[in-house]
Amino acid sequence: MEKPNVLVQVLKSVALGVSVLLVIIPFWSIIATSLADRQTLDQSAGGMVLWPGDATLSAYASILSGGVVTRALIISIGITVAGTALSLAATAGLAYWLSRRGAFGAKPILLLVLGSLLFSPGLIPSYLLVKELNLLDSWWSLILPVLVNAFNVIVMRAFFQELPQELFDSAYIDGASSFTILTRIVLPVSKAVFAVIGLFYAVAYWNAFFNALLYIQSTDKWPMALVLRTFVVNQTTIAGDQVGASAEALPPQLQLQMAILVVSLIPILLVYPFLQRHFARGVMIGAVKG
Amino acid sequence: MSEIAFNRRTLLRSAGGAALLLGSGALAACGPGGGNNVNSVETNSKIVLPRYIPYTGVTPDFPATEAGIDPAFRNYPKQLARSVTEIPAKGGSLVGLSNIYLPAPPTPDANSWWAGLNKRLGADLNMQMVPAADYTQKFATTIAGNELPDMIQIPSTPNLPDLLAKRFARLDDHLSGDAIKDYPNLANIQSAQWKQTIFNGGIYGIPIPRSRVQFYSFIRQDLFEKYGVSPEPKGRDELLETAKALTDPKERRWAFGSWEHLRLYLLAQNEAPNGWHEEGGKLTNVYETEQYKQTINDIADFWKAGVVHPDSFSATLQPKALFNSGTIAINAVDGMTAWSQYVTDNASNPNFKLGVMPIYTRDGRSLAPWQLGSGMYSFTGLKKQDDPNKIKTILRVLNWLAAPFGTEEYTYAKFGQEGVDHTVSADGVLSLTKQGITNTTLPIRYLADAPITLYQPGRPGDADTQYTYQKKIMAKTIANPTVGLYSNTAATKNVGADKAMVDGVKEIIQGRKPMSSLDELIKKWRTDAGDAMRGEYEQQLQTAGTK
Repeated sequence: MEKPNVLVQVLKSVALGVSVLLVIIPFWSIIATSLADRQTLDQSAGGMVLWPGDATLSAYASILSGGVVTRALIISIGITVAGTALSLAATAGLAYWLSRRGAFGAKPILLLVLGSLLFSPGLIPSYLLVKELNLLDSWWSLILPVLVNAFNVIVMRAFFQELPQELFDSAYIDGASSFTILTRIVLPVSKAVFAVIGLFYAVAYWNAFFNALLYIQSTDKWPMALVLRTFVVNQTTIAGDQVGASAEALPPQLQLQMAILVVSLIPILLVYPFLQRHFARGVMIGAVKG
Repeated sequence: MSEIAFNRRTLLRSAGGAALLLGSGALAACGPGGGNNVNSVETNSKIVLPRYIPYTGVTPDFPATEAGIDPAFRNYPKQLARSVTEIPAKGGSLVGLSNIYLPAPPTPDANSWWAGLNKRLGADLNMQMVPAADYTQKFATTIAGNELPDMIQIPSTPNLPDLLAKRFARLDDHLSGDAIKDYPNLANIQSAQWKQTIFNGGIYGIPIPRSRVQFYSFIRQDLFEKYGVSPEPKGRDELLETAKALTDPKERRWAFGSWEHLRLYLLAQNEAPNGWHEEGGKLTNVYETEQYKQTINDIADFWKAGVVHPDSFSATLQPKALFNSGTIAINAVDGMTAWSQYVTDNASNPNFKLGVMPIYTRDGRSLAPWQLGSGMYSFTGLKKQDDPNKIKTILRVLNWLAAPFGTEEYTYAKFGQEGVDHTVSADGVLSLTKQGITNTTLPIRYLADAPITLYQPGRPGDADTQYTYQKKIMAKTIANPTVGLYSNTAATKNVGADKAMVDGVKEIIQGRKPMSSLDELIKKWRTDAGDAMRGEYEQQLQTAGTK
């Protein structure tokens, strides 16, 4: 093969280097700002910094030493694990049914699923439903109303539809029931889509604070995202209020916010390496065929 | 990154606004009665306000005045007075709903302060706490569901008078006139605040009092000294000269930060009305006045002169941080309680010297009238109860929570137990311990609170500085005539209309639109919300005038 021109090589490396930096710098800046001390932040006039100065973990200490944090962390992990498992089971079941040609009632159900993408139930009806089901102040209120996400059903259905029909036909001939086909044949070849959809669900469960805000009344049942939310909005503004002595002991607002951002990224960072090999394939599903 | 998070949140959020309206509409249709009570000044003025009986158990170094100057203490009182002699409740539990600006505290089983508070109140106080930014949505859903907590912080909300009449307890029998003597700490709240809790001819809540001074104009005294300019620029021209002397873009230093703060300062300087101007029952909005145009002109001049921080119009501008770093020398108008925040933030910065600046009229001949605040953060509504004694119990609990500065109850509510939640230094300064910081964040101060007091721990001189400043600026004041009146348009349509107006004005100041387009903006604001608001306010004012 002909050796490429040196100039082209250099240009390519520069272009790639710049692209990489464009991706890395914001992340770096977030981490640096979360570690920066008050003086460095003040010097940057309230902006982000690229170097933390005298690095301090005070923001992390603050958010992790809050009154209800340890509990909230356990709660969030529980909800994320249980919610993701249930969501995956329900989504896979529904998507599989909708993907089988000629399955009973699949068409109208598919329309209902698609409809839920277009029309939302609204804040107050959702609240009243949860209340009527006696789920207020229960962790189930954070899982059941969002158990199945239509978008994810469509993606998973597209994946199942792409499986070769011959696979199913041969299984039928060997006497497998529909359930056996799903568990023995379909699921083992669907790891990629499960990885992707599972990550979508997990991240959503981990970061959701708004439903908890509406449905969970006791602070000792709060998930982590809602606890972190209280830090995001604590800043006194001109329209806000004097918040008292405890507020003055908190680290600067921006530092706290960036620390929270890092904390909320952790689960994805933890899980991603294990899912990476499935990921490239998984996200392509349904990209060209809906 | 994740579509489903995006979908769920935005769906819920965007549904929120519509649902708010829907919810209140449905509410108007439910429940009988309540419709006869007209919410007008006439019916509301028939109510005898709770008598103002100032608390005398603790003597401040400088007294409060009825004009709205806050009392000041140089030091925290050594002898703590007791303002409540009996335990307010006899068992049972109470539920409160309010916003919170701080991390939520641990529950009573792991929080000795909260457990101790329950013991002192004689009841289990449960709180539903909602981050302040999300409070209106939580409030709307709570109202839509049928079970209300016992005590609820009432935000600005559509159809408020109807809502109060149907779902909340009327408190006149308990609080009007001398009846308030049963609750001496509530009687320590001034009439200006109580007036704002009156709807449909009745008292519907307990005000959370705040300073009527509302704002200070903060300056970096050290920078003023360094550049040799007077901290009291008289009039518009002197202010601009001062600003120019303080500005040096090469050193990243400007006189002013937020344009919004500068606007409030210059409105006062131009002697504009405080929100609305009333004459013979007719209202003119500040937008419709010559003084407003003058103000916009002035800001444009200041902007052109380059004395305003270049990010001034950005929503992410952080004036407090800029002020701390000396990037801006004047925080033209900021909440008066920011004093404490600035002092704490800069405790380790020897150069930082905090000052306050009075506002002179445009021609500099005298001090400009100070634009008074409403003096109220929000008010606490009480759920209708079948048993009137339960209302009495709740009021006694709120009376405890409203204990004035320097009392034993106040000290416990804000600082907890000595040796556990706080320590006392040799010179009598209370500081929260780590445990205290975590434990005492329960937002009881939004259910009932003491009037604002000027006190800066460890800096006795600050009481003198602040009190002198307040006395100076409050010599002449101007109030908003619509405070205490209710406009549904203001709580609904005006939010969007006002934003459109403000966005347009920002364009004008930055020179992207001609000054002549201001009239067009005002006209649009009037049709969108302004005239309707005026109508609603005037109706309430005039029913009083014709009797």
